[in-house]
Amino acid sequence: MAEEKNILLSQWLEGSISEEGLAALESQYNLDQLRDVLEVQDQFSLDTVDSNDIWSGLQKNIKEAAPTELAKPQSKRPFIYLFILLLGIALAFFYFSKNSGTEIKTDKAEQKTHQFVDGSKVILAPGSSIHFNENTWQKNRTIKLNGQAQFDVTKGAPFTVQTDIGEVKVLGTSFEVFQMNSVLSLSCFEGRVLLSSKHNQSVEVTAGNEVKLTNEGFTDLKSHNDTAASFLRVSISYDRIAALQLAQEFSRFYNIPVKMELSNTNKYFSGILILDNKEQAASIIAQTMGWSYENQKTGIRFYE
Amino acid sequence: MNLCEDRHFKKAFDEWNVRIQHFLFSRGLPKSEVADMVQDCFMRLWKNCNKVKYEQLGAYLFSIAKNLKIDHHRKQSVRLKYRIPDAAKIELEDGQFTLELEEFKKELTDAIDDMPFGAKEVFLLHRFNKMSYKEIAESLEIGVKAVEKRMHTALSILAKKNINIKGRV
Repeated sequence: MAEEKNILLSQWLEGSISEEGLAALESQYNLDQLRDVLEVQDQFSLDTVDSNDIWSGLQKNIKEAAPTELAKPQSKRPFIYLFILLLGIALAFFYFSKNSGTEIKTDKAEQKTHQFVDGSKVILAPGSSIHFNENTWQKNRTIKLNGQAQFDVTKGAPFTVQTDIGEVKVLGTSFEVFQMNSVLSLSCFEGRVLLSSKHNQSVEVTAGNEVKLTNEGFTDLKSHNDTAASFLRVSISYDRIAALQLAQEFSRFYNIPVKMELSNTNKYFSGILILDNKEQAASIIAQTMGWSYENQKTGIRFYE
Repeated sequence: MNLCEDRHFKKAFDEWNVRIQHFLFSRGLPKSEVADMVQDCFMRLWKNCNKVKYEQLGAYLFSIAKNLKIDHHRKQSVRLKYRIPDAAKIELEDGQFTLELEEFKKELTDAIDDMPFGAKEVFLLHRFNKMSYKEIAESLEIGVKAVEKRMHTALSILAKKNINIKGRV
């Protein structure tokens, strides 16, 4: 028991004390007062040396001293190193072959046109990117697309546009692919294209038609009279996109922050976004949704 | 995580610098020497960055700090005043309050100074480094029971000082 007595306060602090032990302590010490002292002390910190001073001193010393050599491999080690080396080479090869190629990216409010070696052309909408390999272009015209672009394709090897949702194979010539979140819209302006989903369903889209593909499958086969991609026109039309998506789209074309101060962001917008006049674009959205808007220096604010 | 890489080494420094300082303070080192000691610890770490794993950092640094202190202690045994500045958290309401807080700090510092070396060390590591009894036992290379005994001694000294805060702070 005497052995135990000299650790009672430690147990009390940790909350692991027995009732007997607690009674013994209470007869000897004012525990509430001790607890209060410790609580106030916990708010103090020690007067330490400024970290920046130590770090800059350390940096000076480090420059003069190099790290020691790696321990020398023991006799069994070479195999492991050889294995790691081979693994490294394989990974590097994999990485290189996967990533070799060209990437073109657009910022917000930026549009880029790229002409491929075969004369095919892509016009990339703001906030989008494509990735392709020009070295093997003549044999394999495959483009990975993230975002929105118009393609004008010359005759030649199969021309394929891949997105996360599905891929578009070109049978003819001019079309627009627009992938936003998990919806892919495809409009064909000239000739024919073949759109395939991940589940190997496919649909052929002919000039003057538009189709949407989601993870559930194809929807909305519609005809249109457009001759160029939506983002190349003066306005772009949306069908039931969420308020927050609308804000992202607005910001993508005008490169300004867009704030939605809505009591309920679960609202959908169907209508047009004008691409060449910010004020007008905001005004039309506000009218359509019954919101108000403010065109500030720092961005556009929509509110109810 | 490779400690020979600058950014990982900096991360290790940011994570452990203050705790190593507390450790050195708890072993009675004056602030004027702490900066050099902390630099020494991290220089040794840098020189051995190939050999130390990130997960073992605390144990590694504490063991260096412990040996540094022993070297130092053998050369000159310095007994120090312990300083506890107030943290920003405590807002001082008026002059009277400030005085009382200063008084409280003085009483607390006196109590800590009265603790035997081992008890003081354990007490400070527990309170300021927030280390468990087990962690303290491992870094000081003593048993958990010994840590509990030292902590009991430290707390009993503090309790006997009868520092009253109610009505003051």
